[in-house]
Amino acid sequence: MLAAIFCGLLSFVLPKNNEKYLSEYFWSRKTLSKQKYNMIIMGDSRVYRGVSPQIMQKQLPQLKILNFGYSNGGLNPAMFEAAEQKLVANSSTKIIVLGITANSVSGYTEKNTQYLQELMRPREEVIERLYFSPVKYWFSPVSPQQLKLWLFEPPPVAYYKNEYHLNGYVRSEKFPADTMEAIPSYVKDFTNYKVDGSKLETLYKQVGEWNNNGITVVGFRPPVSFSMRMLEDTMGLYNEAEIEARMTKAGAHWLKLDHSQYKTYDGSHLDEYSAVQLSDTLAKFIKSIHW
Amino acid sequence: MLFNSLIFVLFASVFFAIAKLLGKRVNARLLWLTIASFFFYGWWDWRFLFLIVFSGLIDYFAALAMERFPSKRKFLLTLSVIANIGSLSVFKYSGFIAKNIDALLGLNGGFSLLANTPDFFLITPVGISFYTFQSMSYTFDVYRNKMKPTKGIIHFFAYLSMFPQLVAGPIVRAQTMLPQMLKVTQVSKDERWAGFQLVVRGYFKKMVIADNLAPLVVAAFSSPEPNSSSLFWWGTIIAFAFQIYCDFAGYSDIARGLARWMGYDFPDNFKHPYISTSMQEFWTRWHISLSTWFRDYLYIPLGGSKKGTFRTHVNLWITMVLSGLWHGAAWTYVAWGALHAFFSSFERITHWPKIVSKSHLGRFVAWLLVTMQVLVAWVFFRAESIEQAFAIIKTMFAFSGSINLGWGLNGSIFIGIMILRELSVALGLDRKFKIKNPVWEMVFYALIIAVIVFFRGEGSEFIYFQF
Repeated sequence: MLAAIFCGLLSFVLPKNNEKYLSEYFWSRKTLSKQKYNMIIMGDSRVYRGVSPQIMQKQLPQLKILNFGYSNGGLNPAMFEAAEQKLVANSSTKIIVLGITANSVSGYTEKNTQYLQELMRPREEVIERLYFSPVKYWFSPVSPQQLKLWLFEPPPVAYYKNEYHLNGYVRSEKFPADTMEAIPSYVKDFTNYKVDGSKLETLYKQVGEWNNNGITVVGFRPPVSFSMRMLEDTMGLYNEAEIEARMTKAGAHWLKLDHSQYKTYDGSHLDEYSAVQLSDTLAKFIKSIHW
Repeated sequence: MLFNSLIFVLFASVFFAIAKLLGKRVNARLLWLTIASFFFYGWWDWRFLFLIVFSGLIDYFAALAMERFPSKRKFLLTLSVIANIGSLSVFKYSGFIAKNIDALLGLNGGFSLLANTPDFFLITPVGISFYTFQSMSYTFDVYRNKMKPTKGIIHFFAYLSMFPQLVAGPIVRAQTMLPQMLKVTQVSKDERWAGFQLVVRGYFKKMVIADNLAPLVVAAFSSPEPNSSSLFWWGTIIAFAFQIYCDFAGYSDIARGLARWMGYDFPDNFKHPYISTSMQEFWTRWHISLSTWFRDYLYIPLGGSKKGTFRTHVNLWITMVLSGLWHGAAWTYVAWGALHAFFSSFERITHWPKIVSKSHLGRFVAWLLVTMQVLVAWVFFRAESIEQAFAIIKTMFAFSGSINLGWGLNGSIFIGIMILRELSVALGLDRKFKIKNPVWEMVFYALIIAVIVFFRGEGSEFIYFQF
């Protein structure tokens, strides 16, 4: 009883880590929820930070949409199968949207690290994340270092905020923005991994199968900064014209985007405003081809 | 199921509530304990329950048969040992054995034994080493006439699968546990309070100390660019020494506390090992249930110290190296065991701790030397490979690089708490300043619970689960 009083009092005083528990809930739910959707959006962090199902639903109110993007999310058979299982089985409207980046069709993402990590998480951890996150949030732990900063240091000017939406979208905001920030890590990635032709072939084959099975497939290249696009094209060997042609041939609809119309906060991920813009453009495009 | 999860708190609440309803009905209580323990284990992977059942059935029937056919006792014991060590070898060591045969025969290019080992055998079932050794100790004790075999299969499985100690010990002996389990006792208020104290202390060690030190140790060992400072590595190994101690001793304390609530008494598994002034003393304070198991069922049957000096050292080395291998299927564990064997052998030959420890300063020097030996051995235990271990030890003894222990504020506070705690035990201050007023004692434990709730580290598995 005394312990409960102490804990109760301290829970009102000490700082809380809201983002941690929301993100834990978000990823477990995205991966393990049995809910079915009409539209699944697949890809990597550019997709889950860049496409908001909520914005898309303004154009497509009749559809249930899930953003099924993951960090380092690959476009490979394991993910295709997982995405297919999230589609409503007996609906006339089934759409898969593919955000194709250089990394998503290279060896870099073939292990589906984040997706598998969520899928294989011990059961008790999943239960805690799904059902006890408000309790864990209320009793957020603090480290002595955090406590020192909280008590004695002014709040930092720079920040990186993530807002987790249950439809799989993460609204991201970073200050100050630096459009060159992500370049060095991509240079490192592309030194070891480039767009893999066999992975693209697998993707085209899958698109063909989906097309034959009545699933509408839409492809696009998530917008990035000019430097990033150049880097992907030259070092990562991303050939957008060829991918567009092969995707279209396999039966997909390709949305060509003017990258100069979008802004990123690190060269790789869209800022909030551009994410809204992309989601709206994507929704209008799907509306035009489907209805 | 992890002790440090909310699911376990729910599980334990339901278990103790139903156990209370069963009152004095021994068989019903033990059946409930067995069912709950199987559920506890099966929560991780129900497929491996068959291994506990297999191991248990072999030993249960082998022990009964020993009583019925005394002339076949040796054969039955051999059968039990082969079956237990066999299942341990398949499920814990097959990957290690296959990998080493591949390397030895140069099979990596074409046919590979490792690649052809079924995946199922490459998963190490949680706690396999603990329950296998516990099951074997029962057959050994019946064979040596130290106890009568139990007729009740439920009694036996309740002893073998008891959830507080099933996956990470302490390894309890049937000759002490079974009589306790068959005796119906009402758990007194004092015992419940003692159990509560153990549980709280255990959670504090695990969730506050070990889990807060873990990120520091992980970062140091997994960094692609290893730190080149000697002091940094000494600091990291000290952090790991406290992490592994608090992780494992924390688990043991929680297990002992839960057992107290059931009315059982588990032996103490750790007695402040880092205040030891000789390696011999260290092994009477560290993982006592395992070291006594190896002493009673391996070292002494091999002849112990009764067959001359040379055989004593050979027996010591066999015991230590196998104890290293018991921890995991990797050469780093073998090296850890061998290093302890070397330090212990050297100590037996030179008797240096006795010679040195004749004054307070001498005792301090002995403590310092023993601690350094233990720390150096921990490098092998924690390292990802033998090469990494040697590289770290080389850096540690180069005495160069930046003057930074790498603890930061977090590490300094949690390591500081442990150093003060061990120091107070070594100097006898813990007894002198023990809280005697029950009200203050309650306030103290309530505060400790609040510290656990708000200063818990990133939850992670218990290190000893993998063994």
